[in-house]
Amino acid sequence: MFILIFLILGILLLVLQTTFLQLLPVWLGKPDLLFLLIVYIACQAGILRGALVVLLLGLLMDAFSGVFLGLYPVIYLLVFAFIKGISSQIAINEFAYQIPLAVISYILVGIGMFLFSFFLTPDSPPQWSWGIMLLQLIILAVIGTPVFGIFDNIMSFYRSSKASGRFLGTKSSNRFN
Amino acid sequence: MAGRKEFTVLHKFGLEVIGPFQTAISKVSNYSGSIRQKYLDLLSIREENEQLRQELLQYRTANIEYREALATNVRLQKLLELKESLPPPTLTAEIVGKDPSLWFRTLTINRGSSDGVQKGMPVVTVEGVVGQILTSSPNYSKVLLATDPNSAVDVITQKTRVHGIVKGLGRDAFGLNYVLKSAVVEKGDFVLTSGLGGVFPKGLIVGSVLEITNSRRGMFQKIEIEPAVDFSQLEYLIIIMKKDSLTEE
Repeated sequence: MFILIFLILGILLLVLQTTFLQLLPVWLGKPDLLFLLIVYIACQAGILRGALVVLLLGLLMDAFSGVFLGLYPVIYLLVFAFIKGISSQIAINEFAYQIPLAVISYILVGIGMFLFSFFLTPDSPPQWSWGIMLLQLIILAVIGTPVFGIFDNIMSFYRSSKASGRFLGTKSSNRFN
Repeated sequence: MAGRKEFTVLHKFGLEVIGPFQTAISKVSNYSGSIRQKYLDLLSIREENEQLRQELLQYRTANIEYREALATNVRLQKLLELKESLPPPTLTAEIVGKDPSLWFRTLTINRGSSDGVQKGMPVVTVEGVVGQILTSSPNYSKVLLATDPNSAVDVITQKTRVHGIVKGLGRDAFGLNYVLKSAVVEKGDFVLTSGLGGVFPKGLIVGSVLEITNSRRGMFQKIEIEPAVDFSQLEYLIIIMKKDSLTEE
């Protein structure tokens, strides 16, 4: 159920990003809500379920963006592994850690995208723009708190529903309920 | 009729005492009556005003819809004219989504393989070249925009007939590559598809020469092209349905 909920959420965010958010003026940048979801899943979910959702979202992203198939799943899984690696060192469940982590991860994604594109098509190197990157990082930092808050509410809803066995009529494992 | 017709002193006194009160009360009641009337008038005016506002809103909405319909009509008419001028068959498509990333420039359109759309088919609009089909599903396709660094179009300059390859710069500009330093290219000259690549038909406008830089090193000139198409304003596109595209793997 976790996979389904966050997959549907990811699809909704992807649809929002490819349609409505494209109407925003250029100076407002392109808020990458799906990337924030990837960061959130990496911070909150277990390795297997989290990696599966991230992989599926990466495959979906491949369908709507980019030229090289497989690039997004690889990049997203690398971000997932990076955040999981950090999480073994510090408690990143707090917002205070998640936003800087999202910002650092976004820079790494940018570098990853640039390098992959550069090596896959050396005669058509992508353009790196610090101005656009900086704008994206500021947007991520600004929208990070409310967006992570929404994800947190969804996660709480999922956990409480799971505890009460609301999904699919499943019952709690506690026989004394 | 018999009887007294004149007031007695008591009558007169009563009249004189009560008269001023009557005057005052009648003035007050007249005044309040007029205020009430004004208030009622105001209420009806307010209602009328509200009604007129509603009507104005409806007319404004209708006007906006009319203008939008007119603009769509003009756009579609231009598309139709272009469609008739292009080699048949062509297919009109609507953009349903844009690439959310910073690194790639693609679009999603509402035509797919069930409509006969195939990889490599050129996509154009009234203003000029937009890009080519990258992948297709039964009902949707992904278009690689000409501004993407992975896109390449064989072109020729209109006045001086210099050949080159236009590549996307990852922003709203193209680079004209492989033009020798000995070749003459003028600023402002139009850049058209040459038809040599086998992808785009000959003579479609790509853009105009914006800047020419000649560095000491290298064999080629560095030329920047301003796209003829405003990629931020795209809505409807035309796919040129070619059966055998050279970009097929």
